[in-house]
Amino acid sequence: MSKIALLSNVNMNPVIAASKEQDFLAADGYGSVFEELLRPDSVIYTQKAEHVYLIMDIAELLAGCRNMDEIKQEMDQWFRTFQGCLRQELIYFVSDADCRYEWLAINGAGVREQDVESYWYAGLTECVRKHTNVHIFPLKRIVERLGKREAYMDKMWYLGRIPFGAVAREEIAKEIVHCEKMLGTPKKVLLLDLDNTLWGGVVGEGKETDIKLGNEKSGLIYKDLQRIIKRMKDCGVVLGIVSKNNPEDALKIIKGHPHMVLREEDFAVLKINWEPKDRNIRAIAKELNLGTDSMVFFDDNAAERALVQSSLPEVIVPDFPAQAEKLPEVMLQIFHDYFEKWVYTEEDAEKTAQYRANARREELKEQQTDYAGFLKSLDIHVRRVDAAENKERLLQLLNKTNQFNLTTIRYTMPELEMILADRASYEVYLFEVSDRFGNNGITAAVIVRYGKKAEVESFVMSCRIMGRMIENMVLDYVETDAREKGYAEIYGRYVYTPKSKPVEQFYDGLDYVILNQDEREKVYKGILIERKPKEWYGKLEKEK
Amino acid sequence: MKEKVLEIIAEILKVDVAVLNEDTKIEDIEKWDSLAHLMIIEAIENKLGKAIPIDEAMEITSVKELLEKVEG
Repeated sequence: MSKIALLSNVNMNPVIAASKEQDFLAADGYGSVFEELLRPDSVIYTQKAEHVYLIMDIAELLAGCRNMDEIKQEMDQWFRTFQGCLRQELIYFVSDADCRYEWLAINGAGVREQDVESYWYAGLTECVRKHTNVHIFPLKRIVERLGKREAYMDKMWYLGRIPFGAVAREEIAKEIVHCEKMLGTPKKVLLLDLDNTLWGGVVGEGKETDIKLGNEKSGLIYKDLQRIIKRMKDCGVVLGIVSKNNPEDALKIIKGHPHMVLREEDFAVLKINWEPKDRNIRAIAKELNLGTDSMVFFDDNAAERALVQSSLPEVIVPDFPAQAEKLPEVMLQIFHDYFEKWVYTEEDAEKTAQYRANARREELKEQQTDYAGFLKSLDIHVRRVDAAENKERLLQLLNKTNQFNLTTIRYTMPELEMILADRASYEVYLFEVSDRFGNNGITAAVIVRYGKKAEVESFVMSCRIMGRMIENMVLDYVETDAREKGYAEIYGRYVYTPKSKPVEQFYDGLDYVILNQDEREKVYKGILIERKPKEWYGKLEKEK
Repeated sequence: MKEKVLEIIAEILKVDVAVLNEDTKIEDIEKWDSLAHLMIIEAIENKLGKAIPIDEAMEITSVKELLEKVEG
């Protein structure tokens, strides 16, 4: 369990007291959260907190403001100070805003609660975009679900600066536990059953028109459910079908039913067969090159859920509602609980197509016995793209890549911007990869520090494109560039992490020599003069 | 009513209800700090529907006084 601290400008001690599942470091009192964040002898630093939650009551923060300009100034100031307090080694959750005082809206200046809340939210999202270690704590949703009257208790506020009533405090404590869980293993894939899950009824047992899917009555429940799932897909959730049906029957509905919102191309992978579902899920993990711990399985059949849960305990298997009308609500909750991210790039929206292509590549690989022949047949194109123009993706790639990551250095946006601006001492190589099945997007990055020596500081590649010798192409490109800059040698490092084990021997396989090594890292040197050609297949487009 | 109040106090302080009686003084029980006191006032209002006025709530020093406020 991580060490966490909870800070607030109001009294949150009852939340800490109510929390049964999570221990908190005892931060004294409440008030200026910044004092706690800035004091070197604060418990956050003396007891080495790992995660810091800031739950802000904006009504209290803004109590002295009389118009929108003052409100904006106060909030701007808050976020400026907050960003000044950030430490790279900590993870922060900051609450979004709910205006506790409805009387904030009584004013002659036309200030609306919504405006105040959105201004805070805008400040917060900007902060989240800039700092990958800052996340949003969804406080407003808790209040909205309970309603202000239930969430807040005036008596406790005036008695002890405790804004939240007992139920809301419990919900906040639960949400913290949930945030902690989500930090561990982000989910990527939603696997869905078909009959009585994506539509009502069982296909193949009667006429096509017998299934429930449409604009009326229970048909609309399933249509709404599909609409929600479609939106989840647009946010980057990868969809798959795991269903026991005759494939022809099911595909006929998926392709042809007039009310299907989700179509074949929305799914990265379709396993419609009579195989056991746990076996299908394992196969999907292999085809998509994703761990089963990144999967959520949604099925109306309790026996199937039990099988998957016992065979693959790392897969999330949510409960299925007894009443169909709860399906949209339950799916929305699944989205909030497992998939919601606050910043996603355009890359995310393209994910399904990419994973879909990956599954097809795996199929092709099974047909091809000769691996080199397979790689050649892929017709791989690697193209260098401008790093500064794609800095959000670059940041995401550097900070989210665990497997193919030689040094596992994490960056903040300001740090990265400094590197990008410092053209005299750094070169950032960013690559887009495509093949005949489609575009894999921007999936490889290398940062080289050019000083007296040329040193590879970071080398990351998305797991989506691993195993295709693209890393050799990328390194070849970097080496050529270093040589053109006049360097005779290049230095690289591998830093041990449990997840990056697969690339531990990366440099060894490419004629680099180990200069020194300890239990933390290995340092390598490669010679740039008279290099041996590396094995790779495809086309490297040199222009930036 | 007395039993219900004692149960609420015991639950919030996480102590055996047997250690509490009318003569119990707040200062005698270590866990009965100001935060716990607020939680007790809140729970009495939520569960028993008895709202003790804010200023009076802070003057209570014993179980007996608390019961007077609840019953009064």
